[in-house]
Amino acid sequence: MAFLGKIKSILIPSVPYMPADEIESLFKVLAEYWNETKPVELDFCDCDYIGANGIAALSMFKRERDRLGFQTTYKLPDASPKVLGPLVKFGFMGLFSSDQSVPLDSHDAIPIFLVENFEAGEVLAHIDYQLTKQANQLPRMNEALARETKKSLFELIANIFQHSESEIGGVLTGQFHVRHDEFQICICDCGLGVSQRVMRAKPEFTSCSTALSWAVEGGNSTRDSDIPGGLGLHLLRDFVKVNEGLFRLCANNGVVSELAGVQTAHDHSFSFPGTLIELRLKVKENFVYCLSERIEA
Amino acid sequence: MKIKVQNLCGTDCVEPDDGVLLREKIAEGLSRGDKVELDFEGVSMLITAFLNVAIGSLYKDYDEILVDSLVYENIDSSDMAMIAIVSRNAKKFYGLSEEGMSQMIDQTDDLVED
Repeated sequence: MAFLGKIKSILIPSVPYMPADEIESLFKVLAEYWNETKPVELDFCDCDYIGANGIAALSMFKRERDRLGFQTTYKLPDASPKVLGPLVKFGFMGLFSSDQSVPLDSHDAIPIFLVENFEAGEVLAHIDYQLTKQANQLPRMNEALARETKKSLFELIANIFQHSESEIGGVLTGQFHVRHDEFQICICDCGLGVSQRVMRAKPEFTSCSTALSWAVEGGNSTRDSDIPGGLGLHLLRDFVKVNEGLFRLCANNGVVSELAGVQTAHDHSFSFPGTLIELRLKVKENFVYCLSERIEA
Repeated sequence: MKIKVQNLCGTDCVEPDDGVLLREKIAEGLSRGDKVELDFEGVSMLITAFLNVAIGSLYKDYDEILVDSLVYENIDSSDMAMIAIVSRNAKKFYGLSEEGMSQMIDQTDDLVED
C-alpha cells in the first residue's frame, strides 16, 4: 500500500458479481485499516467493478472509522464508469458529504439504507418501497418471492439491533442483476460479529466458521433468555434453499456459504469486524414457497 | 375468548414487545380456562421474533395441551406453518414431549387441507 506522507492509501480491488467469494479480497485489503488512526484514502483507480456486497462493506468501514474519529477519504480514477457508476447509484459518495444523504431511487440498485436506530415501521416501509419498485422493473418477482424476501430482510435487520452490539447500527443495500436474473441483498454491521458472539457464549467453538455453522441451525441462539429463539436465520436459509439461491454469512474470520442447499465453511487469516449477510435470490416467475411443506414430520 | 391480533399489535407483527402484549392477553384466557381464538385478519406480516414471545414462551408456564389448543383464524398456511415451527422449537427449548409436537403438526396439516 502506498504511504503518502500522513495519508494511508488503500488500493480497492475489483469486487465482481462472480465469483461470489471475491468480496473476501476486499476484506483482506481493509483488515488492517479499521482502527488506523492516520487518515485513510480509498483508492479506486485499480477497481473495475464493485457491487452491493462491496459497497455494504465499504460503507461500514467508513461509518466505523467515523465513529472512531478517524478520517477516511476516497480517490476516483479520471474516467471509469464501471466503478463510478456503482459508487454513484448506491449513494456511496453521499457518505462523505456533510449531510450523508443518499438517493432513494437508483435504477437497478437499492441505495445504501443506513439503519441507525431501529424503527420497525420505517424499516418495513423502506423494504416495501424498494421491493415494490424493483418488482415493477422485473415483473417476474412475484408476490410470493417479494413477501418472503420482505420478511427475511426485516428479521435480518432486527437481528442487527438485537444481537450485534453495533453502536452504529448497520446498512442495507442490494441490486437487481438482470443478466443473471438474480436479486442480491446485503446487510452489514460493525458489531461483535456472529462468530464472536457465538464463541463468547460457547467457548467450545474455537473457529469462526464452526461457530457460524452452528449459528445458522434452527433453534440455536446465543440470547441469554428464557424465551426460545434461533429460527430467523434457519428459516431464511430454508427459503433461499427452495429458491435455489445463495446464502452467505461472513463474520470475523469465518465464512459460511450455502448454494442451493449445499453448505461450505472456511476461515481465513484476516478479520472482518462485524457481520455481512448476502443473499442472492433467483427471480422466478413461478416461485412458490410453501412453508407448511417444509415441516419435518 | 376471541383476540383480534391486529387490534392489539397492528398489521405488522414484528416486535417482541408486541408479542408480550399478545402473550399476556392469551395468558388471561388460558388462566381462566377459556377457549382462546386468535384472529389474524388484517395482519400482513408475522415473524418468528414476535411469535417466539407471543406463542412460544407460553409453553414455559402452561400445559402444552392448553397452548396447542389455541385456535388460529384468518391465517394462511405459510404463517400457520411458521407457528407450528415456533411451537415445536419452543417445546424442544423447554424440554417438552414429542407427542405434543405431533399434535401441533397434525393441526397444521388440517389447516393446509382446508
